[in-house]
Amino acid sequence: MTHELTTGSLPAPLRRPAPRWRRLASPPVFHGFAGRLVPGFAGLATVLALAGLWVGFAIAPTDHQQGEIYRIIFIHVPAAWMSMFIYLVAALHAGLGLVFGTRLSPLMSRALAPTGALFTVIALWTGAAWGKPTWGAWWVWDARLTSELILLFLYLAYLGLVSAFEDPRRGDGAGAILLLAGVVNVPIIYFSVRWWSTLHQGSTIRLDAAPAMTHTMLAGMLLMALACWAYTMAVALARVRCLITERAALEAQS
Amino acid sequence: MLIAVFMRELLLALRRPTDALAALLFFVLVCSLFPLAIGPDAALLRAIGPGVVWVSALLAVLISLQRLFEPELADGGLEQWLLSPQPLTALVAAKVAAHWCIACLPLVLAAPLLALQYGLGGETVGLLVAALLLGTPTLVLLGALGAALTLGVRGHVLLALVMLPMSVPPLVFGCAAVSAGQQGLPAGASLSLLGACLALAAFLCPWASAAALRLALE
Amino acid sequence: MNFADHGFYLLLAYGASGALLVAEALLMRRRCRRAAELEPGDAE
Repeated sequence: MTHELTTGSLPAPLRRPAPRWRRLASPPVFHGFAGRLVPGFAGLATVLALAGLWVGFAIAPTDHQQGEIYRIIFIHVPAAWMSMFIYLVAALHAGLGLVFGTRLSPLMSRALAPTGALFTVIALWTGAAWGKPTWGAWWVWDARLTSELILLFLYLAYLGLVSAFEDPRRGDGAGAILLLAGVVNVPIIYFSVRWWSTLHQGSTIRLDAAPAMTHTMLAGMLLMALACWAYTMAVALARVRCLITERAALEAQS
Repeated sequence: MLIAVFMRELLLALRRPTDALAALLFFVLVCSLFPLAIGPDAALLRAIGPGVVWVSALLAVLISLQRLFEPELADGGLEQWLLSPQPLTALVAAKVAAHWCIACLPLVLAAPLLALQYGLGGETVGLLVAALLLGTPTLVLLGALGAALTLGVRGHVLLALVMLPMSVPPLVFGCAAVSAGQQGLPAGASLSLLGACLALAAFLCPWASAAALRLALE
Repeated sequence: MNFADHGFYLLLAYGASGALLVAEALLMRRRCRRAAELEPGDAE
């Protein structure tokens, strides 16, 4: 079974054609496949975002406690969800790459991380924009915001590590180990920050405590979450195509 | 051979104590800087004392780890480790254990004196020492992973960036233990969590560090 | 509940987020165009 993954190294007459889906593990094949998907996801993201914002702003009612400002939730929560989800997926690819040695996997991790970091920044920024009118402070040491901040550091550590080496394969491997170490740590970090938060401030300051979710609010949030997911797919697939091309050019040089 | 690695590290440190002493000195210096920066208000110092001591310890550990594997990298010792019949994980564990004895034991022993600077009382000092005893090995284990991942990279920021986010749990639990003691609350839960972090780190970090070292040598 | 006030913060939040996401998408487009020049013959 393993030789099918290294089919490219055998001379043509000896190669058995791999099953269709497994051929996608080859970077050149995936390059074409991803290229066909990117415009579709981009369009989907736009449509979903418009729908989500419409539901969020035109249909969902004003919250009687927080007024209009709660509508930040339609970007804050999906961004936070995506920041965590992307990290998990990147770690998954890291694990697959280390276990199966597939060449595409570390490239997928590299392609996902910048978008994940961006969503983390958006979650933090929108959290601040929510906190200022609600709690009077740009930054509150809310357990979730603090965890989000640490997640940003984890992303920056990964991005810094993978770009630190001349040999990109060392960067791939080191980044993969770091992602896996991080993914084990993320629940622990989250738990420790919750521990810290309850020790020091009780539950008085929690940014997402306020609105009781009506159906429309939930619908808006889910639509925006799907929009962010589709956006991530489009950008990550585009980025991995660039990485495939750039990596092939690099390997052709050396 | 594991004992040999361990003893060799200790002997080298005894002959050239500069690195270990530098970490200790850094620890003491940083702890002494905070009151200078914040002011000598006794109540305030007592409140921030545990946190400051912990962060200083974390930074001192970080500094001492910069060159954890460099001697082996420089003189070909790492290749020897790869070729030796001992599993690389065990060798890394031995090296980390030795490093803790050299770099962290002095910190733990110095902590009571620094606690005096911050006006921490008797039982609190005991908790501080216990927390540091449980927490610093975790920090060294995490730092070893960071050092293995960043082996050969120039500059210090990357190691800090890699190690510090993952060091948040022992930091939080360690300070929580001491603060609990200060307020007269039971510290058992925090200390247990600290111990759990240590167990997990001791189980996973040497193995991951070995993988990172192998990667570095390919 | 000053709506004008909240409007400012909503704009701050959505405006910056939108700008960042659009910037990322545009940078991706530029990078893809440059990568396509590296290898004109894509393996499809």
